[in-house]
Amino acid sequence: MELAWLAPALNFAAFGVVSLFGKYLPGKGSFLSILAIFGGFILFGVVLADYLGQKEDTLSFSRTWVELGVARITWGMIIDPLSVIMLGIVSFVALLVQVYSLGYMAGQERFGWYFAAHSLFVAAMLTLVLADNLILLYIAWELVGLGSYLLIGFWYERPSAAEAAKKAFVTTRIGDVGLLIGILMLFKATGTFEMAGVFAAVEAGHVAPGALTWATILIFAGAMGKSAQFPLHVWLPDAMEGPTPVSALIHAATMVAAGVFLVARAFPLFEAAPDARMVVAVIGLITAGMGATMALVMTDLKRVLAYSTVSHLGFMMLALGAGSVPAAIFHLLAHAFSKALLFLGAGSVMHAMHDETDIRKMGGLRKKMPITALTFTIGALSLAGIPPLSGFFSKDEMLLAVFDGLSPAFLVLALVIVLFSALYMARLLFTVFYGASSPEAEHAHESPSVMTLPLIILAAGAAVVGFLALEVGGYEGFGNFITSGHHGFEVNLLLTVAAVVLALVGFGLGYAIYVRKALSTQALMGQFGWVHKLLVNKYYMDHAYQWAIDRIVLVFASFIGAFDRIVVNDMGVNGTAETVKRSGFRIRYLESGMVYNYALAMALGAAAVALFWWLVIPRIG
Amino acid sequence: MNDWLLFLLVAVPLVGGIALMFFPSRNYPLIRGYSAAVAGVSALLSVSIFFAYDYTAAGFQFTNSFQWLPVLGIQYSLGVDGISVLMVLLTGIVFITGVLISWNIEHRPKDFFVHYLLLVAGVYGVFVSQDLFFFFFFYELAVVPMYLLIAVWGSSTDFKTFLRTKEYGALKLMLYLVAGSLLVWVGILAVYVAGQGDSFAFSDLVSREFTPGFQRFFFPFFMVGFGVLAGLWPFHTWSPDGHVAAPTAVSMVHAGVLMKLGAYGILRSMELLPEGARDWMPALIGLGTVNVIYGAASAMSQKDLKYVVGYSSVSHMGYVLMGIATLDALGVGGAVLQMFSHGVMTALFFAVVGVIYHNAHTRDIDVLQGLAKRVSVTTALFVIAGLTSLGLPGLSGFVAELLVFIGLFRTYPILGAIGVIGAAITAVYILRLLAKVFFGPISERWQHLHDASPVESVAAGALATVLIAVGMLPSYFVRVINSGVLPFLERLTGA
Repeated sequence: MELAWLAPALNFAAFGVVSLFGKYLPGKGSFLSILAIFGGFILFGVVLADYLGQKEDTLSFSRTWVELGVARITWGMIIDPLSVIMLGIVSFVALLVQVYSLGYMAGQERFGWYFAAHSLFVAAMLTLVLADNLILLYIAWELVGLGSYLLIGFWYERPSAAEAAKKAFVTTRIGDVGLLIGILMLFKATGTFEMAGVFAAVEAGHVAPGALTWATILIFAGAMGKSAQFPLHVWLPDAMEGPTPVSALIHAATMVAAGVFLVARAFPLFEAAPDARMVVAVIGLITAGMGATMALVMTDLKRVLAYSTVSHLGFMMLALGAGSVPAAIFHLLAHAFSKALLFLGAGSVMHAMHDETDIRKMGGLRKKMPITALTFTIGALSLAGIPPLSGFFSKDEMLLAVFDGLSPAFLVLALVIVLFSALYMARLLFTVFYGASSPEAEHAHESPSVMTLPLIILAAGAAVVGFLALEVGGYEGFGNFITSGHHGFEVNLLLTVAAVVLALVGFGLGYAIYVRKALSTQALMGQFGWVHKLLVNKYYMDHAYQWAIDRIVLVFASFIGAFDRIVVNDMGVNGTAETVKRSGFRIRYLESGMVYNYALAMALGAAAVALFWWLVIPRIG
Repeated sequence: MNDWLLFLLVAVPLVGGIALMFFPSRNYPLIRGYSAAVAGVSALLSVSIFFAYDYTAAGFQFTNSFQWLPVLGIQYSLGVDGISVLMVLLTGIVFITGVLISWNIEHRPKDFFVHYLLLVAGVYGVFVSQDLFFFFFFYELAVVPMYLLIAVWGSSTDFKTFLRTKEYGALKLMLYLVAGSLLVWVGILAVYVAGQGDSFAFSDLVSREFTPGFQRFFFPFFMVGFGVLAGLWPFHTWSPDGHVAAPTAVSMVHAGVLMKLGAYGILRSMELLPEGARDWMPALIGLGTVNVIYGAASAMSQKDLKYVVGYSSVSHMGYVLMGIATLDALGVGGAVLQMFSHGVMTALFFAVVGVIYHNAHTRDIDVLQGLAKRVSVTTALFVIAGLTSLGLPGLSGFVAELLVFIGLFRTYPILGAIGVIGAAITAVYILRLLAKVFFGPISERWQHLHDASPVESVAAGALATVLIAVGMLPSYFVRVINSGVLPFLERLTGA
């Protein structure tokens, strides 16, 4: 268990070696990256086995990094159920994504750099989930942001990719401002960066409630950025400008998981600050609703998946806001499998369709690429909440958490979102893989096995990990595991039935609309034209941001820039110089050459010096 | 031997520069080889002094002094503490890389390097002088070559709506620095006279008692005088204009070291007049905050790469001023580390901008586009500087700014929050710049752009390596700084 720190270290090392020397190595060094993450996965196995043997939270590694005065910042790794689970999710998904990338990225320019950046991204994420103190967490957090910047902008020659990378980095950075301020506020109040110390101080009531609430909300702001919560969700759909396997990684295991993980990790703060927790719940609900509705109308394969991720992340935050860490993390796990699967499946489709992403040009792909179709179906059904796939179990737990922890209004809205989730997944599935074959899909073919094998493994995972929730024999169930036995999963039969019925209704509705054409989408659009317009334009959020940047930020910047040049420089600096010059022209007339003028000046000057000597000097003495 | 290290440190570039005057003007390889050798020896001396400095013992080390004018109490006395030893290291790093970046200078290389060596000798002298007279002398020694270097080897730029000639930039810089030094000189003389008028030695003067009224009256002379040099708002405009006019190596020394000299001067004068300093710190922290936000906003609106980096220096120096003004161990320590980090980072920035300008003959952001496709080394180096600038962990700027922020939160939390926001604004303009200049489709015009030459790559690569090394393993640096900052604060807050 002491070796857990090796997991990030191996991947950081792979980043260093592959980025510097990759071009001299066989396969551009890609095998080193894969080996490193495989090592990470093996370490997960070792740590898990150790943990199950001991059942104790331990510190695996702790070294002082910087020490100055009262501040001590350490490299420390903590092993507890949460970090073990995250270690597993991150390393497993990253491993499969990298293997898949061998096929997907074959022949690409900068092939080695792609794997190097992958290693950095994963290393940062592994550090994040293991960190035992808030500064190390923040460091890893920022490096995750860097990894996403490099990978989303991998095809930097494309303006859209360069733009998307910048958008992701800047948007998440806005949240990070909150995170850092929150961390510093907690340090001021508790005098430590160690999470255990901070939480202990909070539980003992050493932090004033007002400051605690604000600090907690600010920390949540960081999570809002990374986990794409309203109103900072705008970067995630654009992030698909990166290579598709990168999207799979971002949407499943690394970037967006970070925010949910952060709230789970810092949950003692949210427990002590109910107002902050309510903020989490409300933001989560808004995000879930917005994401699901936008996913209904998008026509780009990856965009539908992206908004689906936004919606599911909102759902996880809702569960956290309702007070249930186990439900949120369980859904994170189920979603990671399903969403990685869907994105890799989407990549497989794009691979076959010459990078086409418009779902209106697809159809009937089931016959051309059976493995992709089958695995994609499993992922879609899982996220729609159809039993007995994993998404069903996790969604059930989240709904139960909302039922237990929040007012009924939240539950009603959450159930509506469940219906929408099933509907947009049905729409995607039926449009792309079922129904009549489109002309563009005529020449599609199944992807090579290096790509389909990860799909099969992920599909198997998405199908079965839900059963981890159950308490069978000696196994205590996921809920008890992650809370160290404090909070097992429960079942509310009525709620389960309601959720399943809604999911089936959603799916059935999708079938009726997109397969049987019982309802014309054109007619629906005509009926609800303004809703459709609102959704297609993403609630005008991008417009609003663009407006704010163009009209406020840039205008303010140019104002300061012009102020500096015209007022400070031309009027202030050059103006002073000009005044001196003009005065010089005037004053030269004083040099009259008349002795009595000079005598007068001398006398006045002497008097002034004397006055200064008598009156001013004693006072400043 | 150790006693002579600092003497040599100043003497090598000074004598080296004077000796270079007698070299044949046409033998270019000899001139630059010789300059690189002088700079190399100086850099080695700097590095050995830094690592030989015993931070457990703290205090002034490698001290050495000679009587020069006993009647007035002037001695040539040298020594470094935990703060100045880091500045010595910084100067050494920027010195050698500046020579390498100027490798292919074509216009009168001999005269260029003579002035450059004298400039650096002056900078070293300021950091190691323990006598206010020589402190001032070396400061002036640095200013004069600076003027000539810009006025002769600089470049004029037409910005359509306004024109910035190299003569304008050089004159402005000269006037500002002389005006600043005038204020400082008044302050030094006042302290000298009020302190019995028998010694310019720093160690003597810090132990003299000055009345609170005297301290309060004269501290602003130092604060504003040195503040001008540190880019203190609203006395900062000489700095961006100076950069636009200056040749690459001079921009590197100017932003990398000269501006630090201002901050360093403020620190030292705080020790001289501790009570006056305490009273004026709120003003300094307020102006520092303006520096951060105003500099960042100005940088965002610029269209010339050098103006962007110039205003970003104004912004980053704001963190130094804020950190100093906290009078908190973490804030001041962070400020000193930021002086070092920003010095190396901005030297890297200007080195890379110089490479781009040299090859593309323009620094206009609107014209440059998609360079990454063609010049990968240049791009990688610029990205490293940019990421340091926006405070990315793993690079030196993060550690420095983090310490400043912690210091601020312990003293002025609201300003700390504004500081953090400033770092986010930096991210916006740096990332916009990267996306515009380096990413996106490459335009036809830059299809054949040259990448950095091997010498330039080595020089800039060395700077980038320092940024990464300090960012990953800051503890040694922090310990050295700590050994200088703690006694400093004891004197300031204990008095």
